Amino acid sequence: MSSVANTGGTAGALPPADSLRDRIRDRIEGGAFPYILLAPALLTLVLVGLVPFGYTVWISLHETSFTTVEGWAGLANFKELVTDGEFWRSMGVTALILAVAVPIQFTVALGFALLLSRGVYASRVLAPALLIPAVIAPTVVAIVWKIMLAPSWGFLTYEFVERFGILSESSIFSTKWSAVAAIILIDVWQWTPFVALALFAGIQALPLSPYRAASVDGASRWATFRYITLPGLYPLLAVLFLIRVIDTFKIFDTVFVLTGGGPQDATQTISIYLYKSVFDFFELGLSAAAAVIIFILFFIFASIAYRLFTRTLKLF
Amino acid sequence: MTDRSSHARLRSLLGVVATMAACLALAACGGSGDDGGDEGGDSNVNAENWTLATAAEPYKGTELRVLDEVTDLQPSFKPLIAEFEKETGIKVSYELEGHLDVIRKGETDLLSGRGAYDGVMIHSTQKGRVLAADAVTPIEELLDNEKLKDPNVNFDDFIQPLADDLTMFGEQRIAFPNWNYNTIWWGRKDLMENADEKAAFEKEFGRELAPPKTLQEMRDISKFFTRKKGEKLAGETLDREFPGFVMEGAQAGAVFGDVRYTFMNQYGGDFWDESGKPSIDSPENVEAMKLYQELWDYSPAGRAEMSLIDVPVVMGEGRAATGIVYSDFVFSVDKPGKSKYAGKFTYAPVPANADGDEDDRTVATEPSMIIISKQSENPEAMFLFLQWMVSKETQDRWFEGGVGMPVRKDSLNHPTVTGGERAEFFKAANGSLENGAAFPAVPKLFEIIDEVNKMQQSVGQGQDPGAALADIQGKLEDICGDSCIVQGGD
Repeated sequence: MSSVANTGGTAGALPPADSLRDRIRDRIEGGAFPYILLAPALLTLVLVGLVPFGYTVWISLHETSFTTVEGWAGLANFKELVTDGEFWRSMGVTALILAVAVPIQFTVALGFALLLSRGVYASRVLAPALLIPAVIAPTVVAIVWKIMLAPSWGFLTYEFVERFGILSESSIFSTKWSAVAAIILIDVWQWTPFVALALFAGIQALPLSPYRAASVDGASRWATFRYITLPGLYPLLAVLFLIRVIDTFKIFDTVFVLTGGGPQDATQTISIYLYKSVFDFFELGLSAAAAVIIFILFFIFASIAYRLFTRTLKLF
Repeated sequence: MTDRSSHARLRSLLGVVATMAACLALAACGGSGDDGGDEGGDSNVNAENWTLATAAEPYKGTELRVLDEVTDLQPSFKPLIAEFEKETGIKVSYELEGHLDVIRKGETDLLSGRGAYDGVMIHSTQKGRVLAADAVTPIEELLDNEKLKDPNVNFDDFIQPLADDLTMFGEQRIAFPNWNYNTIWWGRKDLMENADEKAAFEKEFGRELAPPKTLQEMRDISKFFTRKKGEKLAGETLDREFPGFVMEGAQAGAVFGDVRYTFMNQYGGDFWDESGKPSIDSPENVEAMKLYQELWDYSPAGRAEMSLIDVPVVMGEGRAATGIVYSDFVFSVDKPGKSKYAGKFTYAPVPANADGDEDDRTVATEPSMIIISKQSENPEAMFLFLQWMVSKETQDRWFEGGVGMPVRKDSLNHPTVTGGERAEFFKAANGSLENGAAFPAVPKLFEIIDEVNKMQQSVGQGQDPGAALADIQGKLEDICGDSCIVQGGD
């Protein structure tokens, strides 16, 4: 109140000290004010995000010996990495898991969401229960599946797979293809319910009037889904897709507990590769270079996805 | 005065008497007759006065932070630490982590120079890396300090050559041995002693069915007990396949030790030659891996995913006839209430190669030590703690709990070891330890281990051993260059 009185009624007549105070106040309340409000958040972002990333880039450009950063290496770590077959094989394994798991999750989840939205029996209980796999720590998920799938003593393995000779002379995590398939299955099991619940919420939020109009026009169920429900869910699907791609790319805990990347690197995802590089081999320079490359790839992916969603599909 | 202090005084008195007797007998009082004397200065003078409480006096109030591994052994040892704290006034924070965690956490602390821990447990496989990073305080000088050195703790008293193999680097002593992990052979006694099975085995192989003394006998027993679905085992019809043999095979496991010591070394081969140059594709190793491959035929279908923890579980459930296991894992299975086969296992040392040279007799062991961190500000107090850990008194007290593993020779004669319920188990473990060895200092051992673990999987799953070894030879050359082993330590 007083500031309004001061600035409103006495312009040009105040002593110099007051002018200075007013100028500062004007500046704070003017152009600088938003930045002052943003400063804590920006500072935090810089400290927790950019500083570690900058440090990673710096390490990637240096030679390292165990945990000690030594001489300047330039792009030598990057050069070594791009010619390292194991790095690209790990990227390939990750891409395979991602390419199979995410579409399955979305297809099954959409089916579940539609089913729930039609009011299935006990949906009020079922809907919250869907969150259970997603809220279990991935390490616990891995241990639960280990107890079920371990060779010769896992419940499912011993009582079904081995009793009925389903995998003759092999086991689920002994063979490359079945090990990868099992990892995908576990990821689908863990994350499909979360996607289903999110889509169910999205469907509930869709406006009713287009459905009424479609009903009046005699539209089929498929047509209603194709032209009303699905387009209505596009923004949500886009966000969920981004979340799931990023999350699946980072898959680590379940693989680490269940296979450690084996057999013969068949399930060695890029996170396992990085973990081994740092904690098994203490190749910090190479690991940092790998992290930078992954960041660049993700930056490109995110940029393309954002462009696609905003400009081409005009979802947001 | 505590019982322990009284005991220490009594021990000092006995030390005086023993020293005088030795002087009379030898007419010379100069040497102690073991390498503890060499390292401990004039131990006879020291022996008269040395007590742990006196040695620890300057370090009273010190707080030590120690990182160790958790198996069944360490929790049984942990309660004794209170006695050390009471006697010395040194406080010990004794943290236990699982196998992989103790490696990652401990190494990261050592290699980064952060120095959160005064003492860190390392396996022999880690020795090369921590030495190459100059992260260890050797105990050589501490052993020479007669105020600190307990004259009753001498390296000749440890199980050799394992202890020296582990704790020597060149001419330098880097630590005391702490944990003697070792592998043993074990089998289901109900099968091994079944009259019908014994008769059938004798008919097929022309000898009695008994715990194996050679790798070839082990193979025969494994083959004999491997049965198809519908066949009979000890009079029971099987409702699924039954493996005759189980051991590790997972990529992220400890099977590299079995591959090197139990198979390759016993056939006269190794990962490298004497100069450290990779030589894993030798004809001896090819022969070793042929036998290794054959054993996979008698193993569970899922052997390629079996880790340290799967093997005891499978045997504990009675789902394989025999196998090789790290003996410390047996404690959690062969005890009442843990397995319906508890008390029904038979044990033997890991067998020798029947065609091998006696000099090549080795068994996969993983001797481990707690090293004093280079960053520790309390190396003397840490030394006293480690020395106390391996003293005869402490080791004897520990064995009274029933769960232990000898690092000292005299522990082999402890009543728990020779006459307790686990006498057969300990006899097997001791037999393995006699032939145990430790990895030399190899800075890039974990890269090599990763390749060896993958190689053994591919051989086990059918790849020609010669081709697999030729393939890994190139990889080891890439990893090691001219030599895998770091020399030195002087």
